[in-house]
Amino acid sequence: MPTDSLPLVRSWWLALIHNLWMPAVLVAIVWIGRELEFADRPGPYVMHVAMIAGINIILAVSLQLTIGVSGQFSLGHAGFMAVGAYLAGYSTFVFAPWNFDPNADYPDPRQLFANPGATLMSFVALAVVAGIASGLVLGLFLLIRQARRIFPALPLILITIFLIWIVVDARNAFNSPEIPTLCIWSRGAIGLVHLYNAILLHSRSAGLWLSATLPDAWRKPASLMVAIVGGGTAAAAAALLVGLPTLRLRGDYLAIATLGFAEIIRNVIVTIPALGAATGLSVNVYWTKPSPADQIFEPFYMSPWIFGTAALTLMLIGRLVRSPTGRAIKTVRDDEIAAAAMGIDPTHHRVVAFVTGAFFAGVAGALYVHLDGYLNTNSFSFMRSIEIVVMVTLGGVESLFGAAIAAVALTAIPELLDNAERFLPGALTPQAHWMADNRFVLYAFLLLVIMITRSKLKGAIRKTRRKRIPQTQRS
Amino acid sequence: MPQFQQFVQQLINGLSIGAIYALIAVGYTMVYGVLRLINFAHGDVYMIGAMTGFYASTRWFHLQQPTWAGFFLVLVCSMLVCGALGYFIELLAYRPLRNQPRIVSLITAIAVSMLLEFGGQAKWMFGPDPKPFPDLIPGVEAHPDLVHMGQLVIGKVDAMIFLIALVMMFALRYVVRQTKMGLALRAVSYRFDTAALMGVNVNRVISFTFVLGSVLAAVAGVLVGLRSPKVDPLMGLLPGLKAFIAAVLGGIGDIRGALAGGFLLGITEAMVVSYFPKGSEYRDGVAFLVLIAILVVKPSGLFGRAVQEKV
Amino acid sequence: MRRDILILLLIGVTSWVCRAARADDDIVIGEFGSLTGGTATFGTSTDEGLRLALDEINSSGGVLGKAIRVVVEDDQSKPEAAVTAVQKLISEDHVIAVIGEVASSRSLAAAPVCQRSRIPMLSPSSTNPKVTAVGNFIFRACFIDPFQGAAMANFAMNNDKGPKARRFAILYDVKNDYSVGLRQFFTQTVKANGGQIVADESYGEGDIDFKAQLTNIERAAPDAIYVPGYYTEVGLICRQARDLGMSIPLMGGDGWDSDKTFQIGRDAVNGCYFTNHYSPDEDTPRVKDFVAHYRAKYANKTPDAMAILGYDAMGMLADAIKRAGSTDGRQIRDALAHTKGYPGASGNITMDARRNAQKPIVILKIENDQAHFVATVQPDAAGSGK
Repeated sequence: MPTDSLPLVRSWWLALIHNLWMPAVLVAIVWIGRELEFADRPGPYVMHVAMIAGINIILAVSLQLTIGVSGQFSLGHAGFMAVGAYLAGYSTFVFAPWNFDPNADYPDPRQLFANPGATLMSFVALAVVAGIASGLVLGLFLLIRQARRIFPALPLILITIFLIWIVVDARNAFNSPEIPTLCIWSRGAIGLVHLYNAILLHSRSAGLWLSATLPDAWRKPASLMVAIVGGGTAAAAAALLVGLPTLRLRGDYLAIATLGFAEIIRNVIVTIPALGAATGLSVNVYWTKPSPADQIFEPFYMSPWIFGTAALTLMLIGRLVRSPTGRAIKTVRDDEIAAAAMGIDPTHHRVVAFVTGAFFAGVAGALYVHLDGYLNTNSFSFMRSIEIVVMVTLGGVESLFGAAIAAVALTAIPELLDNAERFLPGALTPQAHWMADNRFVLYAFLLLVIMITRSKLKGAIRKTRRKRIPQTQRS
Repeated sequence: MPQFQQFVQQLINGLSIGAIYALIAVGYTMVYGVLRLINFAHGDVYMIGAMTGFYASTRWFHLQQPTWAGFFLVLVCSMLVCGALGYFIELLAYRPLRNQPRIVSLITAIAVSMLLEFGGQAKWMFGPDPKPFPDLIPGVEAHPDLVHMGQLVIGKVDAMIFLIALVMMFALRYVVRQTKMGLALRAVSYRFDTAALMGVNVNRVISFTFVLGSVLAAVAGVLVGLRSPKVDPLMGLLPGLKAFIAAVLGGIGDIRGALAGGFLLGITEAMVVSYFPKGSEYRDGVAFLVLIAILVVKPSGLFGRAVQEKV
Repeated sequence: MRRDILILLLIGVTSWVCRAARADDDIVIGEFGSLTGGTATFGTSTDEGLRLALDEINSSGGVLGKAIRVVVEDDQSKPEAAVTAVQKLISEDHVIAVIGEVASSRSLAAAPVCQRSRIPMLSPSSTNPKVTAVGNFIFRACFIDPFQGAAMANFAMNNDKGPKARRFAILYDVKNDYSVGLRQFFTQTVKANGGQIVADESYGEGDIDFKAQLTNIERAAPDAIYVPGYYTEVGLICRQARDLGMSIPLMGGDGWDSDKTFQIGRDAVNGCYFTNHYSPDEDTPRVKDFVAHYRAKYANKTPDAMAILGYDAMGMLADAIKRAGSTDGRQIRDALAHTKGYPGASGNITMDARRNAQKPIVILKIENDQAHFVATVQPDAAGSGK
């Protein structure tokens, strides 16, 4: 049974082994299986579904941390997944270029993924530029807040002035062939883009040097690793940005605010030409093996990565929940004022939970882009966020394990229903197809029924403990 | 002056959109006031209102020509269906969960919303394709404009929307302020338990609130169908969210706030789309930015009072 | 912790147990499309045209002596579902070729899967140039957007039957790659011909209110408005434009082709033009035959462009299989690449070096609530008609 706190271990490396041996064994099994081509038996389709299930596990578990453990109802999870997916995809796209000769069968595999150093440098450049931009915005914000001392309504006036200034600036910049000198905001924005490119250019040699230090065979996995961690970190940074204004809100407002931010993120991504704009981003994926033989694809390359990351996520988040930080987060969820009275900073712990959840969402996104190879903002809509929320809820909002099981079930069952001919007797096939086609209606109905009946049971059990008045401020 | 004309034109567009948001926002704000629950399904009730209007005018009553009688028939039909829907949603989905933590009700509300949206998209219901809402107001097809000065155009439909919205709001004001039920409503939204102690039938009041909100949403649905005659099962998602934002903008729990917020949001949207370069890409983002701005600067909204959290 | 590993083992065991299906001896062709979801009419129309062709082929003996069996997968208008659908068709149903999709975004999602599995994919109506650039197993049976945008621009500026406009406004869907692409190519051609783009406004898929953008456009006083969007918004845009008092013609691309444009737009769409793959009232025997057979099979419904393209795609593929003489992916691919002058219902189709179909485009004008054929534009010798 799950213990409430972690077992005491003598030294840090023993602790590491104690925790990591299981995911490591799993990764080893899957990796060996991949090399020995065991995956040929279930076939690419089943493996594809299994890998999607793995990604959904990561998403569901990370959302469970945010919703269940920390009590913050976030509807913007798909937005963070999008950030991770697009940035990881972009770095792969740029630094593993698609050398495509239209008349050949496939690009020369030896030239792909050979430069992890450059991938790393691109994320570093992004971090620098994002840091500068956020620093400026934060500075401005602090300035405005300090203005409150002079005159109580001054912040509002200042904000209005700034907004009008930015609009006029953008209009002038947009309407003239080249940006006038006085358009400070637009020039600043363009300047940041130039800075990014300049950093990339100057760090090229550093990147190549870094790549050269790695043995040949390690470059490809290193590239992928950088992309995944970079995507996760970018998503975490986005969550920090999103969280700052919104995390002091109560549950209902937070839901809408996170939803709003996810939509804004999607809106912004769809207008950036470098990220594919409306067409979507097509990315070369890691299935290419440098081999002279005809079959130079390994469609299951991502399988140890995905399953390993899923195991790692479960382990890490499980650890976090059972650690003192996790207990603090749960306390903040249960009674914020009591927690504050005990010296636990509610905002800090909420932010930690939110950002960690977003980090793993970004990681899931990065894995997704390297699995499918194509990104379109329509895949990261509000509906996707809701699907993940459904997984968490059906698995039991309090249970990490439940969220993972529900993720697998909700990924696998529609596919099973679709392929019903092979499993069910013929008479039931139309019903199975009907269920697969209408599965969202069924999810909604199931969710409704579960929420109502479970709560009735829970209500009966908790009768003695909870107050009955629905006006309680706590969620 | 063409600039001024354009400004006025956008203002009118904004008021027209705003009236729709206001009508839907009132429903959100009333339910929040009594139950502290964001009824995510409210946007979909609006969609059902529009769909009912479509089916009523084309399948049930086969209205060939637009007539005033036909229009009111369709409107009343829509109001009845949505009122009943609102009543049953509250009875079946929200009432059993009244004592549960907030998150449970939130998820349930989302589930109801999903049920309506995906159920609506199913082939055995409405189907995912948009449906062409017919013309119901006589005289519009031939002469759509009420006022046409230079480039300034005020459509008959827009004027109609504004008028009906105003009428509904006055009716609502009358109900809330002058009737016994309205008094009960105000009492329940102020203090739930005390109102119960004073003999108010809380369940009845809550049902009444839902029905009232749903009726207004139905009116909004039919009006939107007249204005932009394309109705589909997912049309309630975004307007629902924006109406909620309007309610928050005005101060959630306060009916005046919902109205003010609705109009304000509509006008802001119209202005951003027309004056901001590439503004139409950010049309939906604007509403969310407004939400975040208001939550950061003044969370209680324009008309709301800051609520002290009691330990 | 142990339970967590248990889940992953569960996936593993289940995957292991689900053995992939064996290949059988039929000629199996896969079809994937959006049978449900936002753009459901695209998928269902394509399917209807395809089935008509399938009936004709099978009733005249099939290919290589066997009947063709088509397996259909629905991608619910979602790109990620398109990937799974195609993966299933290829590895479970063992199809020898795939027909799909209409929307370029979903074609782009599925194409890499077909390319790496060496299964030829024939898209009936994806017009974005990037689709066939994915690999040499990816083909399309229709023209591409550069040709479409340029054709409309040329028609609007130079053709006597057109509006003979010089000043254009554009109202495009910023969230739709098809719309963005058409706008780009239209703009290029207009500028190359000395015209002007006086207003460039955008909207998002799903919007219902365009008055703000249309007011801006009205201020710029254009001669015509190019609206390269999907039928879901086009009807509303036309009506709102007329409501604002604009009587200039609106023009668009093949995304206009649907009943809904007429149902929603009603008489506001009269006087508008759009480019399309064919026109039901074209006076050629093949079109007449096709329309007649389609009406007979589908309860007097008039076929739209997606239907005829589905029909032609199926026909082309069957023809290629016959010429290849085998079910091997590579040989079918080579046969498809060498398609010359295939007599499709929508025109003679020749595959060019970039695996795009060289075929004519028709321009239709809407009058009296119906679309009428106005002109045909042939692909020029250079290829895709810049």
